[in-house]
Amino acid sequence: MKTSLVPSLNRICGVFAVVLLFCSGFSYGAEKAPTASNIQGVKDYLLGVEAKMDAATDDFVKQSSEYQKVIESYKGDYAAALKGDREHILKLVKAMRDDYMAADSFGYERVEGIVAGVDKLADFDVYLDSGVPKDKETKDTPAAATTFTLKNGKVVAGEGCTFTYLIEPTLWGKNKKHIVSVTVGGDGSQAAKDSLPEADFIAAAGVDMDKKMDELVAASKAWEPSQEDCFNAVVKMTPTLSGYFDDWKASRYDKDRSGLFSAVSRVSDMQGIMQSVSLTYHAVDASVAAKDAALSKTIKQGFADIMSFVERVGIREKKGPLTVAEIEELHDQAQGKADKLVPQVEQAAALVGVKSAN
Amino acid sequence: MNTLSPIIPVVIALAFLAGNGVRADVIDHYSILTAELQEATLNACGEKSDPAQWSGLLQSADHFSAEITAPFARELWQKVLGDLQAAAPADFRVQAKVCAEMQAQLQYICSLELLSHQKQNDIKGAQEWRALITLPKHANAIEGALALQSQATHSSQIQPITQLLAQECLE
Repeated sequence: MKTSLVPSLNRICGVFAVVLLFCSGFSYGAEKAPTASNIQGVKDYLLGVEAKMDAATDDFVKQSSEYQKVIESYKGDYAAALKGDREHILKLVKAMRDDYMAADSFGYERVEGIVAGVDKLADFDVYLDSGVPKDKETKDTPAAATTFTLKNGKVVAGEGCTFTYLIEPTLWGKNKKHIVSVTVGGDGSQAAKDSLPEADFIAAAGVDMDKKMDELVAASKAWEPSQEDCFNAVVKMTPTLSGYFDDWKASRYDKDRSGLFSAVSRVSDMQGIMQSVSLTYHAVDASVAAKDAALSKTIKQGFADIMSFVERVGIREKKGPLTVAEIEELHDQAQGKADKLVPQVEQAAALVGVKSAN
Repeated sequence: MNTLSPIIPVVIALAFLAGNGVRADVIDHYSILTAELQEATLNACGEKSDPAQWSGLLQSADHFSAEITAPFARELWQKVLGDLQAAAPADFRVQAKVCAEMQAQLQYICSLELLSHQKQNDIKGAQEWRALITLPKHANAIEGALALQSQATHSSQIQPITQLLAQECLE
């Protein structure tokens, strides 16, 4: 059965414009989704995002080094530094936050589906973004090998990955181990209201992040993408949607908030991650469409549906607190979407003769 | 309640159609219907009344009706539609129940349609309906996809492939 849509398209386009305007308050809803029509396109996209991340981590090193010097000039007395050089310090913390968000929230999260999904790059994900502290390590959640040495010779190790456990919670005042309690005041938009980052820690963490970023760029340049890499990345990363949803729930709604994911809502991260997974699928879709057009179309709509779903989570969240039943239903829907897509992508891989390794 | 948000999935789905030939098929209608259904379920869970969204659900369910051709599937769908139309918009418990039942029955209807099209050797139609089914977690989905594809050149295998696909849906 076919139904003509032509008469309603003009009206739809008008409504679509209104909807985009309505959504423009969300930074993660306004940009055009990137695309890749072949597997080389996936690598090009990856390198493009990484170039911006690399620039951000370079600048982070400069800002954190400057911050360290200012604190040192007050002999490590943060309250005195804040009193004597308040605007400069707040500007530096704000700059570090901005660089961090460029590197992670609006950088790494947009390629995570590729980096974490491709075996040759996956270790970088554990080090930078997903590795947990040593004492939280499980069979399914590896500990981050993130290690670096502070100026005083103290070694930081086993405390979790660079972005999620070290830099972000320190800049947003949630990492009790590496913040210095001091009354900052203000509205919290430049720095936490009641703490500053420990200067030696944030400077050393920045240098280590930048070094790892350089290594990731080099590994990505050396990567020769294959159809198998792409299918495996999609099969591996699509089910993680419900996990990210749990992160969002914990960071926003649990009684004892996790203290993680303070920079931007995990909704934004979900959108970035799923966008990169979708892009990776689209790179291999032409071969699937040639074998089974219906399967190809359903998988593409499945990804469009996930992106729309994440958008709607953001809109619902913005309207006010969600009920427990709503949160549970959102979780079930996220899980259901991933559960449906993964076997379909596995079928697609089989149809084009790629054996899924996952 | 702002009435713009519920139409987002529909608009996105239609925008997707516009980029793919401006004619809706069963996959498109199903996609729009499930987006509306999920939104209605969320509204019911959040005890949020949105008559415009509920009306959108009724409309998309009506459009989807035209896709169903297998007699038993049509019979089932009429019952689902009746329950949906009878649900009072302000009764969130009934809405949630009707939505959950509709979601489950949709999968059953898709399975019946898949088998109906496959038995008539309509491979394309069978592939379309099969693509809408969320197969049981441990089902061997790959075998079914390959078997259906092979039916195009081995039409004598219709009966064993019907059995395989039926088993796949039930496993």
